[in-house]
Amino acid sequence: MLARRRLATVLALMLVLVMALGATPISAQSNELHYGIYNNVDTLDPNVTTFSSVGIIMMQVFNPLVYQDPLGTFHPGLATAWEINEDATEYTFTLREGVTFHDGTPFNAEAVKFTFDRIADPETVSQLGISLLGPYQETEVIDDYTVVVRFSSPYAPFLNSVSTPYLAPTSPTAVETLGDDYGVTSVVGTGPFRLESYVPNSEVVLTRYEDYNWGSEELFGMSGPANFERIVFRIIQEPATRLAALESGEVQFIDDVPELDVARLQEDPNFEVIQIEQPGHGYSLMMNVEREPTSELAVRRAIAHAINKEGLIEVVFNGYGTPGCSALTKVMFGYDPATCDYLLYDPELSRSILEEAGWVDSDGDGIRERDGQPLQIQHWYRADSPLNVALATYMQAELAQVGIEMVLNGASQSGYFDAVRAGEHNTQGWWDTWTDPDGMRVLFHSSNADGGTNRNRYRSEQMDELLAAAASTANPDERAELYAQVQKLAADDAVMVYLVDPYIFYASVASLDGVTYLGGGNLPYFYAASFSG
Amino acid sequence: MTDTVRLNLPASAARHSPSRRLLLRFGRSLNVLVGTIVLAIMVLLAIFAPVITTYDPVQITPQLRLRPPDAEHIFGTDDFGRDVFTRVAYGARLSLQVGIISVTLAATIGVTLGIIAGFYGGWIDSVIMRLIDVMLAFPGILLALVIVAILGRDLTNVMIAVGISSIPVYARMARGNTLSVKSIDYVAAAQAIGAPTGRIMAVHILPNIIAPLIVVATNGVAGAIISGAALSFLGLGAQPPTPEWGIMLSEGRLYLRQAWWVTTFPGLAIMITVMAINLMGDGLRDILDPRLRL
Amino acid sequence: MTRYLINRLLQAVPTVLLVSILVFLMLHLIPGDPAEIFLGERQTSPEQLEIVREQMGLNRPLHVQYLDYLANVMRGNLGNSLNNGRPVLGEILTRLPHTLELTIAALAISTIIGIGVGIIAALRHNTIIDTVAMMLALVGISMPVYWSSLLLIVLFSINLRWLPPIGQGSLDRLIMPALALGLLSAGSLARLVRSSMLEVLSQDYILTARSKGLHQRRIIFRHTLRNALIPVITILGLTFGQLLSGAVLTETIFARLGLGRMYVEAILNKDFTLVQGTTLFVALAYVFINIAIDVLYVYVDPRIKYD
Repeated sequence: MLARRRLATVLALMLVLVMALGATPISAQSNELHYGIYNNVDTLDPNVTTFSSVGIIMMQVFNPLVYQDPLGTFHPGLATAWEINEDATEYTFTLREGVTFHDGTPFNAEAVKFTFDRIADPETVSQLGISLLGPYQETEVIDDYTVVVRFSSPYAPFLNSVSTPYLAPTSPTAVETLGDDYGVTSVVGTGPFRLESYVPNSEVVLTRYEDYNWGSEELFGMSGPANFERIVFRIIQEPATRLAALESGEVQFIDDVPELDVARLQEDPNFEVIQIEQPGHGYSLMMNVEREPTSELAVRRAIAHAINKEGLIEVVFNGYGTPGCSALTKVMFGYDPATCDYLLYDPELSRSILEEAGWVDSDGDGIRERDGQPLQIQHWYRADSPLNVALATYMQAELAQVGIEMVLNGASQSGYFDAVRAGEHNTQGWWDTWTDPDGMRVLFHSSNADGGTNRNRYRSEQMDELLAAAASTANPDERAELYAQVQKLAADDAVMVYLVDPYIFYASVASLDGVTYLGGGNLPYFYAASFSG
Repeated sequence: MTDTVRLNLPASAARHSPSRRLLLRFGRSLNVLVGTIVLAIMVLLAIFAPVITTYDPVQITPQLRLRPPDAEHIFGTDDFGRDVFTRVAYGARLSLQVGIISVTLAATIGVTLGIIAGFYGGWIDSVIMRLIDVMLAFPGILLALVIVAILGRDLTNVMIAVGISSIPVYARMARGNTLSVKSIDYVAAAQAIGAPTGRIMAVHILPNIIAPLIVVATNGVAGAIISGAALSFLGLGAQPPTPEWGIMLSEGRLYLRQAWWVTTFPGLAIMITVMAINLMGDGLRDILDPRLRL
Repeated sequence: MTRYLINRLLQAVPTVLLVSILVFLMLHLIPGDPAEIFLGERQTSPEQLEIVREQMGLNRPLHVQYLDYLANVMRGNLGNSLNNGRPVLGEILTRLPHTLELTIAALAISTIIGIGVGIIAALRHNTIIDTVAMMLALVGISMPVYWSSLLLIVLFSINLRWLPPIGQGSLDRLIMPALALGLLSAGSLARLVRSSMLEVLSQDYILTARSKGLHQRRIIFRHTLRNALIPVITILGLTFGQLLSGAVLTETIFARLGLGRMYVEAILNKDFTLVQGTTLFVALAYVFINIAIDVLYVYVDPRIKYD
């Protein structure tokens, strides 16, 4: 039949074409790294962004004033020395000489002042950067290579802040020249790689900065130009595809490896899995203390005791993770191990707490009532995240066992924001990653309670004071003690339920060496990386 | 012309009443019979799921996670340890509703609009078809979000959202075929006699254009279930842990490589349902289309 | 015909305008503030929110926003994306070629396979070939695109290492997504073609032609296919339009640049300028496709006339 023959010919032609193309190997050249990155990019400017992916990419393009590795230990970066005054209101930095930005502008005190002032300026709309600046007051230029940064109140976390790419110095010339286009089409830093091109939702391409010679010998064993000539960040949001890209040789490094595939990759000699305990805050449940019935301490305590975290880890995270105990993950400075005894999994205790508070299942439908009102809470989550869906499903089932009805409200991003910012929720999920315990103010400080990040809507003078005190002393032991009190208070008031302390998973080809994981594991750094053999 | 149509019928058929003849033609086609039986099974499954199955469709049992199909769980278990067969059975009810109701909605409105546009032509055709163009160009996601905002999140609104987005297909098809058909002799003849327009449309035009429409409609059932599941990403539709084939299909794709059964069996269920409806649709076409002989 | 075409082109203007206005209004109707979405889950002061809203031009009354926008469009300026600041026209044009190539390739695959299988099934009606063909078509219809995509990736990228699983710009990156999309519509096309052909094959002028002894192949291509084509053309046109703006899942799974993905994200971000710009393109595309279909009707079926 003519049609059939025509079809066969076309198919045969296609097959030949495919084979001809397939003859070209997919694997990249050995001086080029392809990174399959999970998250999208909002802006290229690390001083403005809210995205962790931008942090990762721009860590290669910018240099921080200090490096932090491991957490709590600081090394010289663009600053060779620093001094902090007694009450942590003044930081004096001695800057490295002979450093130039990618556009030739010399790096000096002016650039540092320019960067910080710009971040603090509300017109810049910086998000992460500005919160890391804390109670920033001003930067004073003493001479070309000395600056003093002043704060209106004591601010201990500042060294941590300047170790992030979000406060990394940027070229004043570039900002002034590009104006609104800065961060949209181009950015200029002092890092070992420079930005070559950017296609939104697709890729960011970096090329080696050949004049780089101020690398940290101490940390990376080299100070000259990087090994890789090019790094291409391919944005691949679908987990299965990201994995396929690694396994097919299309990329050599990926982040956010699905837990389901970890075991398989670990067993494969061609690949290496990097598993890091995540710093900051794990997955948790925020409880709105201003809305019934979560406004009742008894109900919040009952919820906290009702969720089996081991089971949750098994089901949702494929067994990878440890039960959450505190708003800080276990690797964090300031984490108090005593928190693991505070709100244990004990469904019997949940039931008795609720009974005592008058919540009884009088009509036998499995849901408790009081004064004719069922014990019903509204849980809001983003429906486009399978993880959120799984967490919601699991928690709903657990709470049903103690007689609480969790009504699930899945929504798109905008619907979700609308609802939770207005406080229409009883519970919502939260996840965060910081490298300094001061990050907890995001969760508990009253200034964030009105539609901000403190979706617990928790206001406590005592908590505010503790958080402020802990941020103002530079003495680590004092800070740790104060943060222990913060964690105890949060548990006493049963503000949140801490579900899981997760792992960060990266996967790479086995031949990739020399990758450093800065930022407590959040920032893979490729300055000293290369393919062996 | 009409004589040649009757040539192939057995002599005995001429002695039966028209309705009896229809039934005979229907029963004679094995395909249609199979289709009807399978669909009946699906419907029964939908109604009697709690009786047929032994497991709880929503109970989470972590220790039974991701078991491959075996004697105790013939379709295996999913990531929450729930029995897949039970969930497929319970899911029949919702999924059949989503598939069939949204397609019926879209087809009814779309075909009506299409026939009117094609039949009258002129400015009526222009206005209707431009409105259809507008509907086509309007992004489905936005429509779904608007429906969520105004009407809320439940499953009925999924059917409305999917239904409305599909109207243009039926309208365009119906119009296209109507244009072809309206110049046929007996249509013109009917008009000449002065038969009422409605009757002409229903009795003469509709049967002549119905064949491709039925095919498109039956094709559309699977698409409707799958589109409905896609909308769950916007929070529209069945909320977890309610079993529904489209959602099971979509969520199960994370496990495609490690636990293929989680997503495959709901997919098969959809496929079998669509097949059954298709076969029945063939039968429907045979009955209604005066030109087609088998 | 010329008069008809002019008429249709004139009608295109109010149509596109209506779509544009409707999308604008609906986007405002759904909950969410583009400024809030832009700022994300970070500590935001009300002042910051205000600044962003001001920068996005959201504080002006609705009709002012729209008319301003329209005036700019007339001058050829589609504005900048609210979310990432890049020019809308540039963003669309970057993705247009990739979307077009995927659409055309997918359409070609589905046409060749769909029509081919449909014809074969119709000619071998009620035989095993018919049944097998229809079973395959059924699989194509009920198989969701993420399944077929993932299966293709596992086979051709991971196991065989023949084709890269992501990206765009070269033929080897086009094949799998085009196959995934093409096979999807091939199934429905096959069923449609078969049904149409069966219908026409049983009509009298075919019997007459057969009785005259004409070669079967000529009968098919001269008489049958032409008349069966009306519904097929309709569906092809609609599929083309759907592929242009709706191949979101395929684009996401294969991490391809595409209009569909951009459009959906823009809507979810309430990125007014990007949504409006893309809407204009999509609406124009649909309008022209439909004009093309209507013109083709006339050539295919001589019975169709427009007054």
